[in-house]
Amino acid sequence: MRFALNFRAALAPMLGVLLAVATQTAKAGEGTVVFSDSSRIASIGGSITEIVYALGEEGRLVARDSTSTYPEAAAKLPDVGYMRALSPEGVLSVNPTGILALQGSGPKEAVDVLKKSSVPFIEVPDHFNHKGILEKIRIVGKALGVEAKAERLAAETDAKLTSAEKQTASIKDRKRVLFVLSTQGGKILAAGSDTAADGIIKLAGAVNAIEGFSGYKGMTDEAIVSAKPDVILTMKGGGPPISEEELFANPAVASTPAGTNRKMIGMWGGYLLGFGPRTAEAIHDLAVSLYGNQVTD
Amino acid sequence: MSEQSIAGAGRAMTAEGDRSARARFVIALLCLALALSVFLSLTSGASDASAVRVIRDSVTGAIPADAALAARDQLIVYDIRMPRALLGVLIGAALAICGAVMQGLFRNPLADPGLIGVSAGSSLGAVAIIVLGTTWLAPVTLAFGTLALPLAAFFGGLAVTLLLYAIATRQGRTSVATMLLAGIAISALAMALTGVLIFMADDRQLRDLTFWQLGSLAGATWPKIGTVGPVIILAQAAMPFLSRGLNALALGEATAGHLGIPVQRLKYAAIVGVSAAVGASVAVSGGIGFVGIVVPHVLRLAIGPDNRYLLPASALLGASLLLLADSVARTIVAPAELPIGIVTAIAGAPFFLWILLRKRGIVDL
Amino acid sequence: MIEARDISVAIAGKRIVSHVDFAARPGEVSAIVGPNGSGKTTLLKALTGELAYTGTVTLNGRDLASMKPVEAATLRAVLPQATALSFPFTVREIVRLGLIGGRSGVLPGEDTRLPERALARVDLDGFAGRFYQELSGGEQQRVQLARVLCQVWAPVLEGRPRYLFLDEPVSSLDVKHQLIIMNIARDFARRGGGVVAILHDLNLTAMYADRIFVLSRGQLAAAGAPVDVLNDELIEKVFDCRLKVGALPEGSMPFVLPQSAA
Repeated sequence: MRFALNFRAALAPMLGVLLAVATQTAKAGEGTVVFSDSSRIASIGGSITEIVYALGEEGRLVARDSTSTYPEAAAKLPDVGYMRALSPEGVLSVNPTGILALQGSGPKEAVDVLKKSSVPFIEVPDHFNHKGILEKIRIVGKALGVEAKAERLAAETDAKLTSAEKQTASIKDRKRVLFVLSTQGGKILAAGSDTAADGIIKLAGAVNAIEGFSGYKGMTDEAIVSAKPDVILTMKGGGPPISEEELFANPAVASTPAGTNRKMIGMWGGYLLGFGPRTAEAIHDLAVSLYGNQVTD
Repeated sequence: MSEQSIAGAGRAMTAEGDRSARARFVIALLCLALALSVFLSLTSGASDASAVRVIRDSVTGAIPADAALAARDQLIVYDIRMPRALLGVLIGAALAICGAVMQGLFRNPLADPGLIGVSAGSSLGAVAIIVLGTTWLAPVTLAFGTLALPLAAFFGGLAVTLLLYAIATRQGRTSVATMLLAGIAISALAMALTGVLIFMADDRQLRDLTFWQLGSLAGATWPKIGTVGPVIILAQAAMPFLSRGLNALALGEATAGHLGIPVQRLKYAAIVGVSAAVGASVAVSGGIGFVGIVVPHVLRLAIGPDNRYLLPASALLGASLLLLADSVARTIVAPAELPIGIVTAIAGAPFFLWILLRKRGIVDL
Repeated sequence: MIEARDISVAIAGKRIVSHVDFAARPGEVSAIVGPNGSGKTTLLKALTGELAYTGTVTLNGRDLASMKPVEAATLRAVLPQATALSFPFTVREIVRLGLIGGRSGVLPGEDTRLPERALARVDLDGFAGRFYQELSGGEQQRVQLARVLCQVWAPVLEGRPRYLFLDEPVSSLDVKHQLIIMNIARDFARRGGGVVAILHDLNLTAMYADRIFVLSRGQLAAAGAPVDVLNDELIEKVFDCRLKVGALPEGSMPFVLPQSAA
């Protein structure tokens, strides 16, 4: 068992990349949108699990994936593995009456087999914006047959998000933020457009320092210099944290405004990039870290 | 099974130095072991589905009490465990046979498709299709469809094997030191090129890649078996015809030729067969290491190096061991699962070191 | 009959054998002698088709270059100077490899006993169960000879004579086994086969060879019966060494006594 944990730790650096997937198509399952029996649900994807808990429907959960680490109580549920490396028999072994899976769950073969099974499979789309979060909540609520509750949670979340976004509305001087996923081998892997990082940066009233590519890509030194980030954003909880010393020891990073002011922000990965009920708080936290008392309450 | 007990079984009835009776006895045991492994593979898993009951119900046409549960169990047994067990058998047998053939061809017990870079070449081919399949290599994917990936893996492996052979062979003699070192260099080059491709990959492709590079049978589906199964089966079916030639090759290429073996044709057949089988295996299950080196080595200790017995025995033992490793991979962290490449590496790497230590001074590098 | 005309062999651009004519008749032991580096093994490898050559080699009148490996293997067997083995075969398994072509020339069913008989002939009774790699150099050489004998057990097959090519078959053997092996060669020739052997011991050559080919710097220095070839002048010239050639009885089988280096 100890080995298994180590293995997950080894996978963790990749986890971040994989967490944030560009979404082209939005579809809530094929056919099924409501579970006929929602008494035993396997929840795959950290934000889905969070939403189920926020709806107070956690009693229905019989399993979760390894990215579902919040709230802490979720960790007690059987873990069916990393959401991108599911084992179909493992998921079916918990005898679910329904499977709620965040878009991007895989591998494709496993999902195909699960879809073939008699257990209803609902794929929840993942969009990295305000509307996307509300859509997720509504889809999860509908699937579980608690639409009224979901509507209340959506309204509440909508209000929180709106107010979080407003906090930075008056700020003129927008910060340029570079999200660094990893610095493995001295190579800086940064977030482009269509990523969760890009979404949260925009919601927090900042500008993604990267333009011109989507997804996560390695950056050349010159690209880092010309991105001129004011702040480096990193995440914690996905493998060994990126050390400030190491990052700013990179001459290209050091020469940017962020390097001169040694400005680096580290936030928990699931919280920062999850796009779930806690995202409003994450936006606020990030905005405060970026703009300090310029943030209006 | 100890060598002595097998020796006892064979020696009583045949002439001294003739291990063929013992080999046949071991092969019979291995058939039994494979049957047991298949049974174990079908009956074990994260869920409590009973393969025995599902198959019995299908045969007798019995109507189960709980229809939903029965449907789930049927899916688990017929669409998850069965293709997976079959893929395990195919790939385990292919990897072990390819190891034995490479060792016979290079006249060295350390030769292995994974060790000398054939697998790395196959991986490069496959990764190229995954990453460039919609852009630069779009014509290839258009022309070959689902076969593009196995084909690319095949040609990647073939290119490495031919290159290696050309580098390591001078005047009909294959230098083992050159072969191993060149294999390491070519592996490194193939991995570097793979790295370039990974660098170019987007998130979606990256996900496919990481899943696949770790080596796993998790992608087993019937259509996949339909695609690569015939390649692996054909390549494997051709291998036993090489056994006589490979035996003669143990005396050196020149002597094999004097004994009437068409050595050049033998070498080409072996190289193409190995590349095809390894390429197809890598294409579906990624790099699964050490089966190709450990299995033939153990069997040489038990039944001797006669390829007429070594090749079929390797296929049987390779299939059994891979099924066992997969059963471990599927159940040890259930309901999640480990990539099987990790299980075989953890079991195989120390064993490989043990071979090296035991052979120190005997293996001529 | 093995006939070679105008054979030249170059290895890596360097000519090792040039313009050699050679003929070995069935019923005879033909010896190739010469100092180290004179091209003996290279010539033998050309005659067995192992090395590329210019000129022509015919086996029983057929061009060697146009023969398939399996056809050549039916007509001749080759004992190399040394054989390195890559896997732990037993002695029996090695000897049995001589039967791969299935044309030993014994009655069907008898070939299973052939390895034992061949081992007995090379004085290795009871060695069948031993591991080849654990034997001494001389024993290994005899095991290889037993394998070669299995391949062409009958010196004449379907009316056609067959040939043994032996590259220094006695170089690592004690005197008793030298004589045993040379007797096997002579017996093979007496029964209608042909033998081509590279030898270093000139006395052994004189005793067993019907015909001697003397190579010097890749060229044929002399060829003929021992009495005609082995003389003071030639030996001294070719081997660069003062030797006294005598004969016992007078005018019959020559013997060579080394005197001193020139």
